[in-house]
Amino acid sequence: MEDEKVEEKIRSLIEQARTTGKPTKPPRLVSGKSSLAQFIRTKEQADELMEELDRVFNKVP
Amino acid sequence: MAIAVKINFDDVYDINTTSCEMKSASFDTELADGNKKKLMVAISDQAHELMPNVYNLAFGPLNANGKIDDKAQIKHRDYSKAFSTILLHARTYLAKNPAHYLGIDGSNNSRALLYYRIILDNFEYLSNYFNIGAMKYYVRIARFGKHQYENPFDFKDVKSSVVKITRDSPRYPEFLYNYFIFTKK
Repeated sequence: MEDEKVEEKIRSLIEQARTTGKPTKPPRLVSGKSSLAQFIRTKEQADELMEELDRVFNKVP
Repeated sequence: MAIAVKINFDDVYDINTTSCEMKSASFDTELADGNKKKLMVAISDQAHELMPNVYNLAFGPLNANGKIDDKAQIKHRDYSKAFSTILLHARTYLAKNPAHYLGIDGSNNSRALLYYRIILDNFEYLSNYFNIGAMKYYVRIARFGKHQYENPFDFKDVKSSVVKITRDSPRYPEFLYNYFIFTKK
């Protein structure tokens, strides 16, 4: 059960983001790419992982 | 020293969202020595090139080159408040981008274990806001007959497996995932 105060906080942060008005590029990381970006290199690997993600998160019809 | 973290989105540092797309935000965490340190929370600018809805979330202080030092070791005065702030930003991002997967890298074993413990210890609370998954990577070890090569790990051939974290997920410390994935509940 989501807390109404938390939901209000989330709405307020979204509004704060909207009023900044600019799509700032996030800073790069010292460690470079995430491990996911390093390991998933082929379309086959990516498709397999997406299939698993969709299954685990019940996004498959 | 084990760190006990209690996630509570009602007790967070003030978040300064610096991008209208919520790709970056900052907050001042209080350090154990009483000083304050600005931490950045950043969500990758682009999705993984082969997985259109998968984004990476990282956090840490900015170094002299303006990069996020995501391997920095910070001694927080209040770990619960710092991690609650990071996860609240993640939840806010997902509220705006409900189709996205947001991943957090356990960049080394101790961090991966810490993140997993935080998720399990706070599962009842977090599951109100997120669906949470975890991923392991498997690397093939190459052999020739009975002999193993000197450097047998084939890092170009990595298999992954994803599980959903539940209240019954294993708690023993040897159980380790490398990467944690959140979606909006």
